[in-house]
Amino acid sequence: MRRALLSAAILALLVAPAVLSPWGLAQLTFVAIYVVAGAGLMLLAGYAGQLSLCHAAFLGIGAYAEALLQAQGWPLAASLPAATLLAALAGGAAAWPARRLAGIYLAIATLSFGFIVQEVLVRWESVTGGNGGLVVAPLDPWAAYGLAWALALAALWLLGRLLASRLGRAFAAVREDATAAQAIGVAVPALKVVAFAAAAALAGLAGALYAHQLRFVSPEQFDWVMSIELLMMLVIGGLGTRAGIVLGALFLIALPQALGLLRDLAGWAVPPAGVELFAFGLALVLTLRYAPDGLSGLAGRLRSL
Amino acid sequence: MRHLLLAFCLACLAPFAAAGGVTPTELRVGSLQDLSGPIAALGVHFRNGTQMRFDEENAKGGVHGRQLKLLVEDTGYDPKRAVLAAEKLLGGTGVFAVLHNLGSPVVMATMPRFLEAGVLHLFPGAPLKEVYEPVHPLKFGMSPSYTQSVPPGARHLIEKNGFKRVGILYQDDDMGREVLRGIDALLGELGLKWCEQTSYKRGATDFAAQIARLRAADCDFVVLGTVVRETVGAYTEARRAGWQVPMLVTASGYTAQVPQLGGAAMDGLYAVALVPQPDPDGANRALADWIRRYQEKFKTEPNTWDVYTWVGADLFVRALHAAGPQPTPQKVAAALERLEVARDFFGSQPIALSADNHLALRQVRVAQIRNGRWENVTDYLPIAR
Repeated sequence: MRRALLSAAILALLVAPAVLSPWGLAQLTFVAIYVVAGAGLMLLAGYAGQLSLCHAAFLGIGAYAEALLQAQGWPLAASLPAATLLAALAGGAAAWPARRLAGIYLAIATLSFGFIVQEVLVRWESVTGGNGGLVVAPLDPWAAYGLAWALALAALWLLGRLLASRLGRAFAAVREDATAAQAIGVAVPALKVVAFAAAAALAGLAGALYAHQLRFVSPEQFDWVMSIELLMMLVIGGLGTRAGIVLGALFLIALPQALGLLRDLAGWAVPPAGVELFAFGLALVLTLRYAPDGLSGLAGRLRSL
Repeated sequence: MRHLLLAFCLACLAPFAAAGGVTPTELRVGSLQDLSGPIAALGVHFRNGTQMRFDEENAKGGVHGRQLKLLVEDTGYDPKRAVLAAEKLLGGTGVFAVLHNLGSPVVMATMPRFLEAGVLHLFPGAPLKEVYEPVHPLKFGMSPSYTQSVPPGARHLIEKNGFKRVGILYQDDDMGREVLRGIDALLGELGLKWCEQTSYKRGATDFAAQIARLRAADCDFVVLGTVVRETVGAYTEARRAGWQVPMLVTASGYTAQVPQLGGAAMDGLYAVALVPQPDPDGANRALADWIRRYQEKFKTEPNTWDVYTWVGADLFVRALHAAGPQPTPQKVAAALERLEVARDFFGSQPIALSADNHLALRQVRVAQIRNGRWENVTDYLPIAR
């Protein structure tokens, strides 16, 4: 059953460019980019149980690195790994002071890291262009689509392999009970640093793709709202499952479009203020109340009816 | 080689292809607005002003028999959604032009897409030089950057009143810093030194410390690199503390909201103004009629942003008429470059675009709040280079 679903999904992705408009293709590319970032955050928040409120900062670092390296004439094959590596280093650096923190302290530490990164992007004008941002060369839309989905599927596959490994079990042990994990010999602080670095690497990769897709990066794009959006995406999709990442990303990208459609249908010339935030909030509350395991859990339960 | 040949054939065919978004009965124009995000209060008026001008033209039978159709896409000020919205507008039958796209990140992310697709990119709501310079055949800007628009107003007040100790309070972002840069250059020209500079984070509500600092430095004139709420906060804070220093705010503070929010305490505040307020008090017949039609259509009061976008839509409509019955973006751009528009019933500044000037508003006026209303203090002054 799962195999059939997976094959169908991949087949649909292969056929999509032939039937979709550039608009549809751009949407699916964004979904893939969010899947890449979501895979990293799932590893960190879903499996290792660590809260990150600075994931947008890692995306930003990847995006800016890609923008700057491409401007230097680096080929994509070199700039993408470099952007990923740089974000991983930033992730490790962010986790270093936070490695012994948990709960609300970790949340505040990561939130602060996000603010610092955004501030650096604004202040370091000679390199980042400050608030004016940087222009990035676009990729061919079909190439971008193929590359983003190839990387998204690879990230999901890697995530699955990792979970089945010793490292994956160690992550789960930290999530369930950090003290107990420490007692059985898991080096908890080091493991947290690894988890942050890995999650940041994927976020950086996503950020690099995002930069090409937007063709323009500026500090305000990578604020805490984006970090929260990414976390909400995972919760709505289903924390702890790989299908949840894809469903959450689809939801995140499709919701504004669905609301736009609703707007046209309802004949609102101007939608009521805050309708989108309201819809997001409502979706989150409904998910937590009626489907605490997210869209993927809901799908599973519907199947077993 | 085959690819090259194909590309060559396509390039030869391109001039003969019908322009996107045009049918015998309809001409489609896109607009990326913020209707749900942080500047939705602006976006609604951007949409209304444009729609107002289009409806007026459509009621008269359209342009060369074509009805003007405005397709508004909501971006929520999010560049990611803006990119998707741009693809949506460009897909299908496409659009002939985009008008008044709102928000700097939105414009920066989408402008190249529209230009590459051969779509006119007109009068965006983003005070960036990039939207009109370097000159590109298809892009035209409406408002100058803050660096250019605030100094002439400040220069007028400094020279007229002999101010020597100029201070600034600015929002710590691109907007505020552009004001800072502009005034810095102006002080250099006038041979003056800064008396004090102080800033605040976007969203701040308390300005007591900043005002105290400006006062301690004994400034005799303060420039506000602020938007709406901070303008009210800073100005009322100074007045509450009994400090009657004259202050000048950017064109973003030139809105009816400022005296409405701050009440009588706002009297005396100066602002630079790009387009006039549609004020029903003392309005001429045409303006009074326009305000009444606006209120009936949108069930709300018009403000300066409706005038701003009405003027932009008006320029576009005039150029469409001039471009003849078979419009192409190139023909309309050429018509725009020949446009000369005198003052209209709003009292807008005269506009003259040309082959090497793609910026519409090149003058500002100083206005002051008197008895809760904005009144003009000067006639139009040229902007800084």
